[in-house]
Amino acid sequence: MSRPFDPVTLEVIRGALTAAAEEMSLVVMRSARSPLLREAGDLSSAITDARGEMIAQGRDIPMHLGVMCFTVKEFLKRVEPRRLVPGDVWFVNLPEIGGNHLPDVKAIRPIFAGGELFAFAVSLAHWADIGGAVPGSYYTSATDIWQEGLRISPTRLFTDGGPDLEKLDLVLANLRGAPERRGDIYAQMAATRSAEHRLHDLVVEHGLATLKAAMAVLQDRSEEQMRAAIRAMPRGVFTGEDFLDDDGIHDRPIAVRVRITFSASDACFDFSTSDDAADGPVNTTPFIAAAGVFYAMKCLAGEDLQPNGGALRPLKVVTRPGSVLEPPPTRPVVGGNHETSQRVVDAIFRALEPVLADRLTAGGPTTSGLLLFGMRRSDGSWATLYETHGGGEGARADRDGLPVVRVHMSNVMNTPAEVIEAEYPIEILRQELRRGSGGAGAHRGGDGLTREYRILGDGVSLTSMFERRVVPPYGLQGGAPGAPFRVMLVRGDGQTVEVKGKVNLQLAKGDRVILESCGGGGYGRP
Amino acid sequence: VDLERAVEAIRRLNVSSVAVALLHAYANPEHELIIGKRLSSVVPYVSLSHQVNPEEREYERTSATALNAAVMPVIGEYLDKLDREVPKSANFHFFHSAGGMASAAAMRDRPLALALSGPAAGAAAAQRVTRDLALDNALTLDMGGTTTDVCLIRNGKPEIQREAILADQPIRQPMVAVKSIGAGGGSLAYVEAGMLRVGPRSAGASPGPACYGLGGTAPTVTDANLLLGYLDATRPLADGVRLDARLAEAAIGRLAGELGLGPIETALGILRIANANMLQAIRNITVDRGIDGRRCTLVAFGGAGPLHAAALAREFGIRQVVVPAYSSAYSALGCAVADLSYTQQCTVRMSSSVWSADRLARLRDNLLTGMMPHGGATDVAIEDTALIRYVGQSYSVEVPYRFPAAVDTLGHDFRTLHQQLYAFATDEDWQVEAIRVTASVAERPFALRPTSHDHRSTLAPRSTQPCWFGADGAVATPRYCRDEIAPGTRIAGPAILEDEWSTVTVPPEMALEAAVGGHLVLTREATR
Repeated sequence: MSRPFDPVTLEVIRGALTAAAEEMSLVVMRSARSPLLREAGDLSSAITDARGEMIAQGRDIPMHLGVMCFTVKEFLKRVEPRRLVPGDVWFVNLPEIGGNHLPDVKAIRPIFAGGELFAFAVSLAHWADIGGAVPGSYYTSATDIWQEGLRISPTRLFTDGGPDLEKLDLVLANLRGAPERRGDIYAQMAATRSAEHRLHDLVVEHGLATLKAAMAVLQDRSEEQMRAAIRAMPRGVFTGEDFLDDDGIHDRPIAVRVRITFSASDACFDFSTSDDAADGPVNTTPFIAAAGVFYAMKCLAGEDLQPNGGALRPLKVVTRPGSVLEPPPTRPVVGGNHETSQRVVDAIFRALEPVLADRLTAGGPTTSGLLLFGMRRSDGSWATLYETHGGGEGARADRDGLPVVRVHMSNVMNTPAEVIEAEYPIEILRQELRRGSGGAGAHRGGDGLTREYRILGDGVSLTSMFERRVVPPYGLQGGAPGAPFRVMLVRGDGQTVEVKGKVNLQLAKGDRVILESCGGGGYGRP
Repeated sequence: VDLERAVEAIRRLNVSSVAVALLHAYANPEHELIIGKRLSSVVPYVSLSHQVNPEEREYERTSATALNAAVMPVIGEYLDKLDREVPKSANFHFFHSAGGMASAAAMRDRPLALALSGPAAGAAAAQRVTRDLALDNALTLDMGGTTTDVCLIRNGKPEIQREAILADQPIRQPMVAVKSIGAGGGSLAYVEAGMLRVGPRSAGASPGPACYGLGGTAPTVTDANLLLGYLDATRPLADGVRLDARLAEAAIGRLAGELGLGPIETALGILRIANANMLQAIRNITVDRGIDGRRCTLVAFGGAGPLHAAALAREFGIRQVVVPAYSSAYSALGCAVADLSYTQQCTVRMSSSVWSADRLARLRDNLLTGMMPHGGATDVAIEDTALIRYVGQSYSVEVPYRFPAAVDTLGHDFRTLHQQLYAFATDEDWQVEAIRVTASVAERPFALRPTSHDHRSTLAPRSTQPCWFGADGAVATPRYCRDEIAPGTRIAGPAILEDEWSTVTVPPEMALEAAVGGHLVLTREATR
């Protein structure tokens, strides 16, 4: 049992910390420049204690939030706390420092009261370009991580006196779209500043000692909640697996396997038997594996679970060095972030189908469904349209799946056709439900989406990064799988080719790209 | 040809209302107008997206247009009925959600503007109070049984927001920025992971709080108010319900047992958390706008607002609370005192580097032409706001300006506001994303009659009962009848004021003064 604490003050502080984290995300969305942040909301916010343990988070993207449980802890292994001073904002994107892939850059601000470092604010934002071989920084043929873009080791871009312009320029000199990116960097800085204001208010209101004690107790309480959730799980050992379509280089599936052990009050998720690290960019980090585990447990344990570092204590996550979930640090990772992470979650849910089927959804669009268009505007500036596509949700024991949604680890919105057509040389010819794509079952899977793009200018590059093209979304309890993802490229001369899940292509004026996202799996025999 | 086929298909459907939303119609409405004209010969009601919501982003605009189409026949038939049955009803005005009144004719075309106008009316009434008492910035607190609405009034005007969620659908149109949270008298208190939680689950009106004796056994905010002595169990509520203090005590006692606290401590805790939830909402609407909420006056109304306002003000550091006259029927009052006004906005998208004052003037003119025919008034005041952002941002800063705007002045004001809101501003190009125009007919004469009709020369409490304001002991607290308090009267806390509809709590460290017009002003006593 955790330390006693006035339950009223604790609840007041909990609410205020959560509100402070949510406010950070608002600040980024309102002041950022790239559509990926301001329209699609590909960003997350967190507040940690002085050791880097997550205390509060915004209502953002599960895979970011899971990863941010580790970011500051790993950062502190490289940057001694005595080097941190008030007003600092450090930027970092290395996957091995509590990270996931290079485009997700974390801004970390240490927060002090009376000279004592007591918290960190972390603003994660997906930069629409981080340099590397292709616009948008998704190089699907990458064979090492240096081809994927600029690697930012912990770098102090802002001090109390303002931006460190030389370092800022070094960063901006190594990516496409510098003016837009500069605005995004300022937005991340502003978000961490707003959290600092809120935390200082809390220190004034409650005193530093009480605030620090509350941050510790909140973690203890979440640990207890997670242990209670584990106790409610069926005891035993469960195994499951799911497959990536391919790694972009070799046309063969890659397995993610899990062996789950639920004991009296803790749980172990062992991914050791997953396949070896891939040559192509679908590798990911142990932090992403842990984020997937945490997400799955939160789904199963109920939404009341306060997500923070304490909730992770009862969860043991094992990955094997050299595997696709713990690759050598030289391997490319850009797609693993949102594709392999979803395989982690699917493998866990599939393992639990025999005992918890009534709490699961059948297979859904567990892929970003990403098409990334890169181009230069007439004034020479870079424009990147990073568009994720939802599909049909899997059916459940009690209802059909929803049409055209994003599920599980990602929570990014689409870009309106009017915004696309106003800002890019691209036209949306059609957007409609992909009728009949949901899998049959006692409850049907949701339908996917059809969207047709026409390219109005030359020199547009297209990157795909999606899954469920080969391995379709699975049915549960005898339900049929959903229709797989399919993207076709119709050239100006009428020639039609299929676009695979992980390719870089050059498009020409008049080309059309027809995307059909996957349908959800059905539940129960039809 | 396609149009004729669509019109024929719609005619055969035999529907009464149709929404038309075409891509980019906010920028070029020509095709929508052609379709609208053609459709008007086969269906009685047509909503065109560029008229309902002339802004970019097709999903939100279509959603607003579809909702408008759905309510058009309902409002249309209602107005027809009014016309038939009430003489001169053509002169009736309707309160809309942007906080003003509009003519019946305007509401026929754009009934969606009536959505969520109830809470907006409360804010409009509060705006009137801020004028009466010469307050600049105020926060309204409208607390009822299940929800609390808060709104920021800045420089005497309620803040306007551009979108809200209604029945899970986004509706995008200018509306008074009222933030609703699930905290009210019926909010349930429970224990979760060793922490006391209050709301958003609510006991509602049925079964209601435990003390209603209607079958509810779970403790609520109202039960806490009763246990602490703020509510009077000897007086039935307006709808005849009698409060049972023993039921409240039993419900809170069970919760106290779970927490290992005393019942009074628990009741005080319930109120503190309910207040903290409301404070989050207040922080949200003030901080978000770059305003320090502690410098605002809290205007409290609704059934439970005056009960909580003083404690809330203390927690947040607000120094002054106003409980206005007619505080429990405040939305209705708002409708009576609101200005005749109408708000409309359109997308502009003009960069500071390619400025055209002519184009801006033309667009503004179009907006005004669309708004004016309905009012028929002469003495019209126009307020202009430009929504400005740096090129590449998608949220704008609202910059008030005086027409015709100089590009330099707008740029300067924008950068100042951006710096205030986001802690940085640069010299880059910026763009006017949209302009908004509010036309209003200057304040109509409407005198509030004093509420009191039973002033006593010497004020005497109806009773004196123990109330708990802290866990260390109950305080003998006099209870007064609100109607008996004459303007200028000063009462030091602790005290409770009651009328038929609501209860005003004056805690020990505050004092109350009855102002002109029946408003009550609570201030914190000078530091002890």
